[in-house]
Amino acid sequence: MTTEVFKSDFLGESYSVSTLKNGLKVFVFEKPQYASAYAVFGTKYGSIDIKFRTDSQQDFTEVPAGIAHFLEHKLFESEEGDAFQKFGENGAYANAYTSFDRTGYLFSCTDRLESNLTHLLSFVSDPYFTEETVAKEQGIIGQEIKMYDDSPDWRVFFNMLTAIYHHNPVRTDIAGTVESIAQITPELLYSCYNTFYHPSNMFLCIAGNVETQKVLEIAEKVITTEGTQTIESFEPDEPDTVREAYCEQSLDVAKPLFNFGYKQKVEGGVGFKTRLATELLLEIMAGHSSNFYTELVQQELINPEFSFEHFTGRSYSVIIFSGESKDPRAVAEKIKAEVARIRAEGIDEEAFTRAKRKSFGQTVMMFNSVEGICSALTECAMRREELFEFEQAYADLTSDDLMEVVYNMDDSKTALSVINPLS
Amino acid sequence: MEKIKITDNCELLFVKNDRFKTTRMTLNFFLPLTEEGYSELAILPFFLTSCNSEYKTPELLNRRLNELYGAVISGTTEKVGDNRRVGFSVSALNDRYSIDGSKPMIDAYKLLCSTVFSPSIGEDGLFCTQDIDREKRLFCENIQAEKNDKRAWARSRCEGEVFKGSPYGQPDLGTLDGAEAITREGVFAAWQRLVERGVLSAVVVGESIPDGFVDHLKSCLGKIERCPEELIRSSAQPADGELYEVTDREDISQGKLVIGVKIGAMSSPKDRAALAVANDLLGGGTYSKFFTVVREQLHLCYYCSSRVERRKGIMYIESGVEAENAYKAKDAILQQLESMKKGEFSDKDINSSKMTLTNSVRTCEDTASVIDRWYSAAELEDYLLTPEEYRRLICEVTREDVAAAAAAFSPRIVYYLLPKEENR
Repeated sequence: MTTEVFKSDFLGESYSVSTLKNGLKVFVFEKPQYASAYAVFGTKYGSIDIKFRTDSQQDFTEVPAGIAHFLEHKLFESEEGDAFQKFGENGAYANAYTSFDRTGYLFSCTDRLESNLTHLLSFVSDPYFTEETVAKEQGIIGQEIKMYDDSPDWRVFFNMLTAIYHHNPVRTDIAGTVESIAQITPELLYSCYNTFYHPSNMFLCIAGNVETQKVLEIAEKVITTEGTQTIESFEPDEPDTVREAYCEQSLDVAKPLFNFGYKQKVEGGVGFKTRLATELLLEIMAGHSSNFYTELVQQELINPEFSFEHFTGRSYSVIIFSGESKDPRAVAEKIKAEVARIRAEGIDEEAFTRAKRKSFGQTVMMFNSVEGICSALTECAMRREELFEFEQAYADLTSDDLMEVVYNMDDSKTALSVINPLS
Repeated sequence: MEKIKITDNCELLFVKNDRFKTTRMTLNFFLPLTEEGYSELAILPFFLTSCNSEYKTPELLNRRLNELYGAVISGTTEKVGDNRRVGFSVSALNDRYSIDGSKPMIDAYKLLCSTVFSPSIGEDGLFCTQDIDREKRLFCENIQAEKNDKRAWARSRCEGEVFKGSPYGQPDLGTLDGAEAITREGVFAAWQRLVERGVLSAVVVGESIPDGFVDHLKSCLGKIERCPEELIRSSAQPADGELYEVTDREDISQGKLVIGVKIGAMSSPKDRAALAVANDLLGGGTYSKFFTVVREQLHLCYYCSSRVERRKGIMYIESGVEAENAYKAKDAILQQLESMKKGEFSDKDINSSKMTLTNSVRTCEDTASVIDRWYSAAELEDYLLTPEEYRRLICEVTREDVAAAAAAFSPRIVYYLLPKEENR
């Protein structure tokens, strides 16, 4: 096992990253003055991993959409019963999530940390799938899918991704469809599990009232799988263009909802500097302190629901503007015009300084929360980054870095997704 | 927790906590809920946090907040029993994290006080027409958007049915009709009522009370002739009567089911702790009856949980159901409620519940906004418990205490939000 310790004198904080012999990365951020601890045991496996092979396999295996999420649900079940039960008995809060590129199992507790951590690592390492339990879960997840069908925010987002991407599996709903999950079998679940739940593809992040040594002892004791494994996920060729520039759906909403996305280039992932530059650019361009935002509110085109984000993972990157508007097409045109204006006029230096201060302050505030720290460590594990690199990154960032992002915002690679009220 | 007198009718609660890199300061106002001025009071936290006499537009105010390292000013409102709370908070970085020697904490509390006590006023002595028009439009859109979240919408509809005819029966932000009728004069009168007649308490969560905050607050309050109104300490409870059903149909694919259950009177903190355990055993953790039986064994829903509004004497059981399972789910839920009333729960489950609740109470010490919220209704508490005192009370809850709390459960209403017939 190797261990590296990272320190920030400015924050007065430190954390360690250990790599076990089997490749499992363990991130521990001690906050002894806190009452609670928060832990995530995760794998670099999400809804986009639907075609893959390992270094010992020649052919790719293709699996139904939604299987990573299905697997997450099923792992909570063992021959002895429901894994939630033990957390409940220990008074811990437990949950799990599946996103596009990762799956995480988590708990938060103030007591019985060792027992909870042992249980977390154990149940995730002990799959149990049968025909009967798979059939039962198909019904439960079918209801979850229906719940999302009623969620306008969810639909407007996925419709936008479907318009932006031709083939990238990020365009498919994380939970899949009722039809795709009907094809899931215990054998397919074991195949996915054995590929992606190998320690060398996993990470454990824990923050709060914990002792690093204790965490490592438990991890080494429970995770006994040996050797390492390399995984190759099939990345379909994705054209540079968008599939369609506009799409719409009608749901029971009071006012039209929209997502307007700019497809971005992804070459081996999107680095921290680019993500930071994008965050600051968007704040300057469309944040609540911008002229642009103020004008659109005055013109009654948007309201405070208006927001933006840089949605990015290993094979996808989209800058998204979202909100409610009586005229989403007009908002999209205004956004394009604002991008063109910044491209021509450059970045206002005062606005750049203010945006930098805001972002820096909010990053420091993140260290108030053990959950926030754990989530940031998860990001580090996924992207192979270092948590405290933000201090230097803010110092080094210039408005030229933001202009790079603007130059990559291409009007011909945009898609507008709208949810209209039912007529 | 330390109490500091600001004026004869205002106290500051200081909750010392050196875990955070920020300090959170909150001013909470309380007024009895009234039909008159309901919407005007509800819009105030939105309006007042949008601009003030120094930063006259949202754009300028937000620029200032960005300069203060992303300090956040928030305004919130909610019903607390038959009273309304209107709260204003600011969270700012502790000064030592400023990289240019500025003092974001001091500037932040000045901004908080300006937000509340020094709004932007036009030449005619009222709020400016353009500011009110802007916030009124946004407020109306906010109310219209409430329907997008079907789960919250269903609960709000059920609450409205149970407390129909009283101000509490209105949603927190009021109705669209009420919002559309808002006038400049009405909002100004609501602000005057808030600062002159609202019961005020301040909360600070952080390493220390920022230098000068107490004096600054005293100075702001010294300029106002304050005469706080009497709050409603004994809120109206759900009426007794037969269980009845209400059904709405909408263009949705998954149905929602909300059951309103009258709970017993709670005369002591001990009763409150017992009720918390009873509620958790019924619809809280994974050992709860709703999770284990209704969801896992019978597969009748995607979620089923319960929550208590203790000041209004009601528990809401909320569930997401397939339309064809809605009536079966209702029967199963009511059956579990009966089983709970008969004391059919294990000691093991009680222990799990107590562990979960104490875990949750201890965890709240790790989040400034949660600590702040814990003390936000201090003015309305007969017994102001610290989280630690509450945790101890939960530990002491017995099987008999839980049974006594559960015995008083009495379902009053079943509310269904179901897909339209043609969508099924």
